[in-house]
Amino acid sequence: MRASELIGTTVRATDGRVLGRIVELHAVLDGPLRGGLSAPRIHEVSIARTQIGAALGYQHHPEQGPWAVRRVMGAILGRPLRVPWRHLRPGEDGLVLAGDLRSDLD
Amino acid sequence: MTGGTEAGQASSPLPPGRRLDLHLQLLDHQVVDQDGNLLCKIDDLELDLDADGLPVVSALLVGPLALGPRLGGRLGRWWAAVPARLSPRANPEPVRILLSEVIDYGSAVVVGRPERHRPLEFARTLAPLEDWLVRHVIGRIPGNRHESE
Repeated sequence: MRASELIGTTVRATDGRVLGRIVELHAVLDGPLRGGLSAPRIHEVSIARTQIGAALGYQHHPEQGPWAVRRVMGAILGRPLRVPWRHLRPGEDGLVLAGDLRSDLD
Repeated sequence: MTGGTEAGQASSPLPPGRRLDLHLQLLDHQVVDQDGNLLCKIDDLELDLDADGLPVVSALLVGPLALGPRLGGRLGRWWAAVPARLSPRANPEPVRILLSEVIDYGSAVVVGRPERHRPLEFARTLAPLEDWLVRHVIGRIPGNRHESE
């Protein structure tokens, strides 16, 4: 599996509603020791309405930057949802967010 | 470096340890050797699932064979097809940098093993089209050698 296959993957709620797409993979260096460092292990993902602008990191710090950019990126990205990887299950069309987590992406 | 993000609705705290946002802080970032020589950029990441079912980065993938599928579409296929055609290998694969070779994750990723990561040789491995042009076109032009050679 490649990171690029995860980024952009559609995530749905258990009722089939589209929650958004994965825009970020949050890792912690707590995996197996490789050389002098532990391997990055993905614990959480960020889900947003669209990937546009996600590579620029606007979903991480929505309070930063010129207000015009903040407003535009906020309107495009919505409010990203961070969910633990363990709540995601494979679905027919992407991933399914299991459990009672709900987003306010609408 | 602590790359953790505070935005969004963190539904559970991340475990302790150095954080890394893979899209923002690793993909497309520069790879350098210990002397600061530019080697390549990270085009994709290879992931394996561990015993807990969590994806773990197992290697950094670089070169057009890694970037092509990421671009997708006709451009992505073309991007990967040209170096695949020029590669001497029957089943060309993206160049993999093992995590055991990574020394630091900073604004650039620092790798060791200088014998494997000599800048010129590494660039030729990554860009078979350029390598092919050097060997078959540029190399046949009289006076093609550098003054220092």
